[in-house]
Parts: sequence; structure tokens; C-alpha cells
Amino acid sequence: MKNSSIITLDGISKVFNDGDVPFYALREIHANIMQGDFVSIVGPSGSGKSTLMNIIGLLDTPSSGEMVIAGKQVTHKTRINALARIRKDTIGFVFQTFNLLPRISVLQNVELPMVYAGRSQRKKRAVELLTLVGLEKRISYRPTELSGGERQRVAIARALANNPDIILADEPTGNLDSKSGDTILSLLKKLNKKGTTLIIVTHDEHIARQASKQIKLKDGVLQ
Amino acid sequence: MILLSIIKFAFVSLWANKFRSFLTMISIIIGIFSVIILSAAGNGVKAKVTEFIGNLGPNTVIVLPIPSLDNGDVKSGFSAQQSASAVSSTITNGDIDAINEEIANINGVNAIVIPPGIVTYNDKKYAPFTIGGTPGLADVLKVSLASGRFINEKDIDDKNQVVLMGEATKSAMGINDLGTKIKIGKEEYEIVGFLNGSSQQMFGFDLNNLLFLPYTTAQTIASRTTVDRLLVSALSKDDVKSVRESIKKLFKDRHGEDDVSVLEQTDALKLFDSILGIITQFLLLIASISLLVGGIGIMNIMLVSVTERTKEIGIRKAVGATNFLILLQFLIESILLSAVGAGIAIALTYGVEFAIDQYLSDKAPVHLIIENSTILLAVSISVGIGVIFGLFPAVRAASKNPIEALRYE
Repeated sequence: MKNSSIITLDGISKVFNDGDVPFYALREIHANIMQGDFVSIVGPSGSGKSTLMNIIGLLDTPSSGEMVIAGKQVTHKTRINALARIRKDTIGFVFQTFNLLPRISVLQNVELPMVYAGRSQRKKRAVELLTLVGLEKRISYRPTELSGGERQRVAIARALANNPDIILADEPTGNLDSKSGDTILSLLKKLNKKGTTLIIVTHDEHIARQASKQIKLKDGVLQ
Repeated sequence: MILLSIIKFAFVSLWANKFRSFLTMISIIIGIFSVIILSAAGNGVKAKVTEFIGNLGPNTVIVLPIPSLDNGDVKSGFSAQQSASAVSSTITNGDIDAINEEIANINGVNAIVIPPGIVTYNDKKYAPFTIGGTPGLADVLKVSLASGRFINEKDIDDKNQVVLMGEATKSAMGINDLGTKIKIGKEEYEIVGFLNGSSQQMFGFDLNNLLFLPYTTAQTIASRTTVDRLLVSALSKDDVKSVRESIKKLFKDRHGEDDVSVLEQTDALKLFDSILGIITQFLLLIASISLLVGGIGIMNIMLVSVTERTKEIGIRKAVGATNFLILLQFLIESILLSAVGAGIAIALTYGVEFAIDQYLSDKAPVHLIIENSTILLAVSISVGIGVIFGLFPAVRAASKNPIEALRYE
């Protein structure tokens, strides 16, 4: 499967019609991301990188254009529930603010995507994943009892729960000190080496440079 | 399997806000509790009335001063009774004599007059269950003498100011001796007999609480010459139909119109059933207002919850929850709120039933009879409330845009 295309963007545009004048957040984006790539999406704030991430992450649909993700075609007509179904098997998210559920344990947080995917043996796999990120001693803790770096590792374990093709990380080190940030980045790179496609949205040049491929955006246009 | 996990999520959320969840349940608890207690008390009253009317015996024909209760249309009869309750009875002592003289195959006629009955003794006021009657009423009410004498025909004819006292009345007033005088209004009445303790009840009144006097005397107290009820005993069960028809005809001839109802035991049962049904339905309607308030409370708290948990909804959607599963989770939360409330209410009613049976036993005016169908109804109502009032908040939760929800702080 290596070197086959995992994401193809074909003329993706996103228009917001909130004001008097239509606002183009993205304009005619073409890109091709191969299985196992490490891609960074960079650009100043307002450049459209969050919008692009939401579309690739299947949280949003493009206004026009076509996209193929892990063999599934997505257009502006794709229904929300169809997006949710593709999303849970294909994409694992890592957010800047971790986005763990505070009332349930670390273990239950990691189990959550498997619950929605209807998988069995969730606990066993969640423990394996938490061991992988080095948190096997923290499984019954609440997220609030962990440090920022630890929380982000839980988030990575959660992102891996359903064996996604793609890990989509939005400023994953943005809320961390540099040491924790380095740990997270090397963990993500380790996963990428094992074959998971890694897409990091960042404005950190240092991280962006480590990627095998960069998507640079400015005012919604590919540079 | 997913459903089980989602029910667990709902529990966790409700448990995280224990106090708030409990407050939300209170209206539901009160509403469901009222519904079950009212139905159970209604069943209890029905059992009592059935027992009492049954005790009258199958040979008894009842004459009520209310028109059209005996024409088969009990409901219109009931509204007739409502309008008639303000009107005084038209049954007179002359009617009693006429029945005694003209109707064949009867054992006798018992009259009941219920006078206003505030009793004074030693400057203290009492309100026993005062009833004016005929000597034969002792058998109908199944009361027996402890000491002294019962009233006789002479007391009736002379309107003697004599009374008999039930056990509870006697001890409440602290009277020990026959011949003691009590006051009703301004007049003095002599106690000529004490009654034995009785387990009988009459329309929920404890007969131990009885103050019994000649019906003619009761008429004097009430300053009227009419009678409130007649109980006519037919010689045998086979005579009941003909006695009933003859009495009906007699009243029509004497009064010139159908201003009384003549009922058999089964008619009386049907009548009480129907009156009780109307009262119970009315009370249930009032109780259901509490359920409506409870439902709105649930909706309110669920809407607050959906807003508070916008971020959680976003996270769940990002990790793969479909809109339907989010909807389901919030709907289950509102159903749980309402159903757990109903569960608490059901437990409470069984507690009350147990307490009445255990600690009041024979002294309770009414025992609760909780039917399985009532419990089933209560559970269905609570689930219904959860669905109806939880649906709108759940739809709102499910339709949140995941991107905006994730950004929500």
C-alpha cells in the first residue's frame, strides 16, 4: 500500500456567505498526499489552514471540488453522517487543547472511538495503546490529573484507537513546553515511520521543516 | 453493545450533576407518587364501599332523594346529584308509613337522617358521626349494644331526646355513665346506651365514632321533616325486583314526579363506582399538572446541559459519534431522569402502603391497593415524559456543528 495516494484534493474551495461579500477561505486547492507521508500544513493565521484541516478531517464539506480520502469520495453533497462514518475509521485527531473528556478516565477516553465504531475488546486495545505512549501507569487517572504532555499522549493513544490511515494533528505542541513538545513530536514521527500518514497543521517552522512535504497556504491559496 | 455504552455515558453525566439531577426529578417524583397514591386510594375506597354495600345484603332496596340515578344512565345521574345536593330531600315520614302499609313482601323500612351534629359536653365541642335512624338500623350497620338500651318505636314516635354512643365517641368525650346528658345545639340529650367496638365502616366513617339517635329527633335538630335515605328490606332476593318497582310507582303517585331513585345493591355499586371514577379522574388530572411541570423542568435542564456540554459533543463527534448516537445519549439522559424519578416515587408509594398496613392496620380509613397496571402506567408515563420533553434538547445536541462545538469554550 505504500506510495499509493491516500488523500487527493481536486479543486477544493470553501466559501462562507456570512457577510455581504462571499469570503473564500480556500480557493481551488489541488494536492496529493501519499500513504505514509508526513505533511505539514503551514501558513499565517487566517490563511485557511484550519479550514483545510477541517475538510481533510471530514468535519466539514468543501463548497466545491472533489476529494478522495482512503478511497472514499467526498463532495459538497456528502451527508454529515456519511462523513462521520468515514471519519471514525480513517482519521485520528490530535488537538492543540487535547480535547479529552474530563469526567471519564484516561482508559475510557481512549476507548471512546472504539465504542462509536462498535468494536469489541476495547479495554485490551486501549491498554496496549496507552502502553505504547508510555502511560500504562496512568490508565485510571482523570485527564485533569495529568500534565499537558501526558494529556497529549492520551490524545494520541485515542487517535490511534481505530487504526486510522491518517493522523491529523492541529498544533499538537502549541500548548506544551518545548521538552514535552519534542516528546510528542518524536512520538508522532515514530507512528509515521510505522506507516501512518501524518498531517500536522502548524505555524512552527521548526516542525514544518521536519515534514517530507509542506502545504503552504496564504489567503486561501496554495503557494 | 453500543447502546449499553451510551446508557453508561448517560448515567455518568447525570451522576456528575447528582444534585441538579435530583432537583429535576422532584416534580416527577411528586407527580408519579400522586398518580399511584390516588389510584391506590381510589381502589381502597372502592373496596370499602363495595364491602359496605355488600353488607347491606342483596335484599336491600335503597331510596335516594335524587332523581334519575336508576335509569341506567349513571353519569347524567351524577350531574343530577350535583344539582340536587343543594336541594333538600323530598322523602317524608308519610312516605315511610305509605311503604309500610302499601308495599307487600317487605321486612321493614329503615330511615336515615343525617343532622348537623356539633355536640357539646363539659363546654367542649365534638363532631362525632351523628346519624338519625330507626331501631332496625342496628342490624344493617351491624352494631351491638355494650350496655343500656337501643332506641325503640316509642322514641321515634315521641321524638325522644335520647342517644347511643360508639366506643370512640365515648372515650373521646370521657363519658362513663348511662344517663349522662350531652348537648346538641341548645337542647340536652340523654345517653341511653353504649355500643360495642365495631370494625364496620360506613362510607369511610368509622362506626366507633357513631352518635346514634331516633331519626325523628334528628329531624327536629335539623328543623326539617324529610328523610335522607331509606333502606327497605325485601322478604327474599326474589322479591327485590317487584319491591323496587312498587316503591318507584308509590313515589310517583305520591309525589307526582320521579324525584327519587330506587336502587338495588348492584345499581348502588355501579353508581359508587362511577362517582368514584369521576372523582379519581379529576384528581389524576390535577396530579398530571405536576408531571407537566416536571417534564418542562427536564427539558429546561437538558437544554442547559446541551449548551454546557457543547465541547463534549464536539469531541464525541470528532472521534466518530454520529448525530443519531448523540441524540440517543441525550434522550436516554432525559428518560433516565424521569424514569429514576418514577422509580423513587414507586418505592415511596410501597413504603406508604406498608406503613399504613403495619402501623394503622384496622384504624386506617382506607387501605391502599396498588395494582400492577397502575405501576405499569406510571412507568410508561415517565418514559413518555422523558421522550417528549427530552427530544427537543437531544435534537439540538445532535445537530451541533462539530467544528463550532470543538471551538466552544
